[in-house]
Amino acid sequence: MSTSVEKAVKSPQAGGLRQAMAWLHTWSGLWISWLLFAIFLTGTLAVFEEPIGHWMQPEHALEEAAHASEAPLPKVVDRGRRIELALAYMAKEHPKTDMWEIWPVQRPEQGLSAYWFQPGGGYGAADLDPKTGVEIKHEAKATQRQTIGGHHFVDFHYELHAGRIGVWIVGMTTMIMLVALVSGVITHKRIFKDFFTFRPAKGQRSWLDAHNAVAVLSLPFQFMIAYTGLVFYADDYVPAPVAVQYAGAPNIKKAFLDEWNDLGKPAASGRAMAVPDLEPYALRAEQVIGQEIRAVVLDHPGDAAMRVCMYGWNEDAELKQRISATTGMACYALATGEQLTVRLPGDADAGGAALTRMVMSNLHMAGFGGMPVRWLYFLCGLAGTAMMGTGALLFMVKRRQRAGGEFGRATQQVYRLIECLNVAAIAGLAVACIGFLWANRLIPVGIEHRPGWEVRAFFGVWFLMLVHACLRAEKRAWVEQLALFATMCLLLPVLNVLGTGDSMMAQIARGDWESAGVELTAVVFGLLGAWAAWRTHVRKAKPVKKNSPENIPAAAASLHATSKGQS
Amino acid sequence: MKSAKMMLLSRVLAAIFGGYALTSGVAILLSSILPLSRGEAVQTAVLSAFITYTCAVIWVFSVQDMCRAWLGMLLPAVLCGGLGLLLARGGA
Repeated sequence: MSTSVEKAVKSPQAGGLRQAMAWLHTWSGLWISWLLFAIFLTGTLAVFEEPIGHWMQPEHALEEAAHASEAPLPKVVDRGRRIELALAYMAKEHPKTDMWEIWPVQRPEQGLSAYWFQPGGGYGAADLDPKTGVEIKHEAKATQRQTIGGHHFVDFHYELHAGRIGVWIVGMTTMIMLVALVSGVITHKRIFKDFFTFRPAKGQRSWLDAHNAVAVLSLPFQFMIAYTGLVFYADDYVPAPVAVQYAGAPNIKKAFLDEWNDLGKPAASGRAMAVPDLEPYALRAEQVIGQEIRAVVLDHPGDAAMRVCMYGWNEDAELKQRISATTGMACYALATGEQLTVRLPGDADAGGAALTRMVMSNLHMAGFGGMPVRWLYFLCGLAGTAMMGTGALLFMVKRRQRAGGEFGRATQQVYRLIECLNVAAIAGLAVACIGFLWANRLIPVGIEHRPGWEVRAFFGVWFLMLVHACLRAEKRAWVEQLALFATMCLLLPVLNVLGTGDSMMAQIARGDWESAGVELTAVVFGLLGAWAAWRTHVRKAKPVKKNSPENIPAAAASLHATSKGQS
Repeated sequence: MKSAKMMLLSRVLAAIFGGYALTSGVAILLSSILPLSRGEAVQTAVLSAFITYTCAVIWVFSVQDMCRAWLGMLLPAVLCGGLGLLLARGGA
């Protein structure tokens, strides 16, 4: 045993490319599979950030339903007046700021808003009364359920709630995932044939078949989602080109960003000029870009070099037809009335590379194609999650059949640790995710820092699952955590009735498919979890006993044929 | 056994740090020589960097000779990076 292990450690490269890649796939895959599973599961849930957020604000949802029968708001006719009110507010309250942004739109949940760059950095914001221009102070009502909503899943999957450090950890993990994908494909020469191979209830071979099937089926998606995920912080991860080409600029990063974000921004002239009526520019811009105006952005207000940029509004129907989510934009020099730049909807400010980056970002976020694409992403994301999960399990299933001595005398302890981490990372995280939704209903409304407590509940439950996985025998740990997961999923609609009095039937009756969808999906997951718990429970013995002694040659032969070199 | 572990460590380091150096070198060169505007060239170099990195890591784990693996990372990294620095575009 030790000789074969030694050989594997010494040089997997000696056995040729496929063996080297198999080794790389196994080991790079193992160490990141737990974290990747978490990133993928939460990223998959993040696809439905909005419905989840909607479900997590039941009072708001009910209020919305109460207003649903009212006639839609009349179309804005007084936009010019709204812009004037907001300009007057800014001139009075924030005259020194260098950028004023006004949203004069009238849409559900949108009234009149003003934004500006704080002199000390950061974005300032105020909601204004559209009729009087007076700032509306939002005071948290005691009855309002403060929640982080579905954004928890978005935050976790790209920064693990850990800020910059999290972004780097996720970036490195994603990079290793790319390596694992490529090495996995090279390992797998019968990629097409194996996709149609599934041998159920055969222990290791079934896990390998399942791993291959979900991986091959969703492979293009996995490459796409990993690569486009890296794009968001690409110039942070690889800062060398920016540092070299913009050397000498006072703020290197800003110089780079300006060059593709904000072309042709004028410098302030120092001469004063009154802010003119902006409505005529909004009308001109609407003609040019063919979209309704969403935002009015004024640079250097009160300076003769003033420039206004009018941004359009992407209608849902438009985003069903194009992948680039940029809106239309038209900019004007206010001293001369000259049109400076025009960007049609879907185009980029700069050239093809900038457009590529925008499209990649939007591809990652499923910001196109509406609900069908979101469901497609959800299913592909689950396939990716299953790929990580089956991969992590496969590692241990194999070693239970034919233990290696990779870790010397500590091998058994390391295997036990890997088993614990498998349970906690897969079943435990699933419990934590549904526990997060439970926390939303159980944490008292009106408590301070409530969103923070929801996140703490998520991590707390996850930690408890880790402790539980370490204390219980492996099989019992799986069964108990899967059963807990199933129970919590299946009882989620009941919890909602008890907590808010709102039932799934009522949601469906009033057409609130976002809330009903969350509960229905939870029930489906609950059924799957119950099935998995039951299957694990009735599994008679560990495969190592089942496959002894007469089956070992066959198992070893298949191992040799299908995953040669994956030790 | 000891030396096998050191070999493995050396290979992992070559993949991570050597690969990153090579990636940065190639990206610098691309951002200098691509016939695009500065912003576009830098953007293209940055966006394509992860392809370079992936290929570099795969290559390090496929060659047998560790000397070759390190040289294969650092030599082109220095050459590309150096050439890119020489040809760097001037200030704005």
